[in-house]
Amino acid sequence: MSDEPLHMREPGIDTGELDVQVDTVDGVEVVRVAGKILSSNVHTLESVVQDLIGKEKLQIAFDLTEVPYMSSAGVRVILLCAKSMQKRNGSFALFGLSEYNMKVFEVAGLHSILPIMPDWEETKRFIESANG
Amino acid sequence: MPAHILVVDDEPDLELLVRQKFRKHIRNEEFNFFFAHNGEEALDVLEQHKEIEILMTDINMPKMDGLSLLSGIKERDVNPLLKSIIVSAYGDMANIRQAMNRGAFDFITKPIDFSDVEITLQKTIGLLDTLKSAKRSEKELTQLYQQLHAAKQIQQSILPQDFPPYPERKEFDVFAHMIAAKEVGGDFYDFFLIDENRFGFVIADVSDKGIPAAIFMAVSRTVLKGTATQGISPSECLERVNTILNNESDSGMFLTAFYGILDVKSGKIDYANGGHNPPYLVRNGSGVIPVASNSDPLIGIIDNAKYEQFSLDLKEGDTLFLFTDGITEALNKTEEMYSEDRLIETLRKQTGSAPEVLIPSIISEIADFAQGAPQSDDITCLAIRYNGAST
Repeated sequence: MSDEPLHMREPGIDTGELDVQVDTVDGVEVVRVAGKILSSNVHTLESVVQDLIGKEKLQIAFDLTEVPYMSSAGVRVILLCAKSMQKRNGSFALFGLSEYNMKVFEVAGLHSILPIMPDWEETKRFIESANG
Repeated sequence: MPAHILVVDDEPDLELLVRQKFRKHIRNEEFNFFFAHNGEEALDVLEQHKEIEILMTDINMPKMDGLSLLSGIKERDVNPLLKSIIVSAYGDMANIRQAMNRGAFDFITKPIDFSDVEITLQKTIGLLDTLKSAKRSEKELTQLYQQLHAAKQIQQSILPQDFPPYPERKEFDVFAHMIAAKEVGGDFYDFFLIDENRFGFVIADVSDKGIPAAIFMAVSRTVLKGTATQGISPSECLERVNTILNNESDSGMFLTAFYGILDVKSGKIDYANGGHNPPYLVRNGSGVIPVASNSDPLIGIIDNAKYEQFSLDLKEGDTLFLFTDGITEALNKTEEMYSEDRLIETLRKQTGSAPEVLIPSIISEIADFAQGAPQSDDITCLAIRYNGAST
């Protein structure tokens, strides 16, 4: 709680790395994230998402199975992707939400707005139907 | 800019030789040489010409030898980056070791091989360049940190800080506190009298951290206050704020906000919730309950989002406690969260406390819980106690 100078900050809970990989499965770019998504590491995810958007990819899914926790920084990047897909008539869905993350989306009033799917099969079906 | 080099040797011919061998470097302004003939003279030259970054010195000299010179520069006001190259007789390992121990950067041996001198000088200049660029980066970073620190202070100073804000109002007490995390972030609280009988209050949390979040926080706070003080209903207020911010924000920035209006005559609160964690209602003497609300969307990102309006009645001695997730998600050293359960328990123990007692006790409880674990998010809370209509 102390207010020491910023450059004195010790490595604390905000220092975890985020592992982000993209697999193309049946034409869908599946962004697989592993680790807690925090302000301090969200740039890894944001640059991957920006890259996919820049490459005009129109079918993007987030696999959050390995994400136990996300802060609002993670929600922001997911919304950024969702909005961008909406603008381009692309399709977007997420799956593998932990109980905690599900609560984050519920409290934020996003569970009824974002396509949150129980698993990859449902995600695939959703994205295919959105395109058909 | 040439590299400034001081050559120290009691042999007067060396100066001519150096000027001759390095004439091209001197002409091209790569090297600029200074000369001294013993350690004492060298120290004076180094103090006069702080631009000298490389010292190349013989060991055996009258008045003050090279080893004493190496020790002497530590006590004198010379260029802090100064790198020393010692010139010693071939095989004089004892003196070379001693020179290195006194801080020499490198050595060359006699008889002097000028191509080796050139390589040694270039290597030293390369290192100096690296050091200088690291120093520049360090300076820039320090300035940036200072600016961030200033930004954090400005951000906190725009929130209402004077308590009690309305000492003449007996119908309610209000207290709020925010402890910013080390990084600038985006929590805020605000309150204002809309008119004689309506007291508006808000707690909000902006997505993410850093400068973009801080700017978005300042904008959001202004938009919210400007909209709310027009006296419109909470639900309409959040809808308007959502539309305004949604049009502004391309970065995906958003905020969660709970906005309520207390009717100070009746104790009735009308409120709407834009994706924020629900506040707790601390009933005087009968428990702690989360206030009912919809999970309406967070603000600033969803087109035409709707915010349903709810209401609750405060009885005399009841307190509404609003907070951000920096409280419930405060971590201790074993990464355990403070949690809603602990918060409810603490609130229960404080039933009936005045806000200015309740909030400090919660903050100190969280500090005890964290056991010194670093605070990763802003901790913000606002409490309003209703004292009944004044007579």
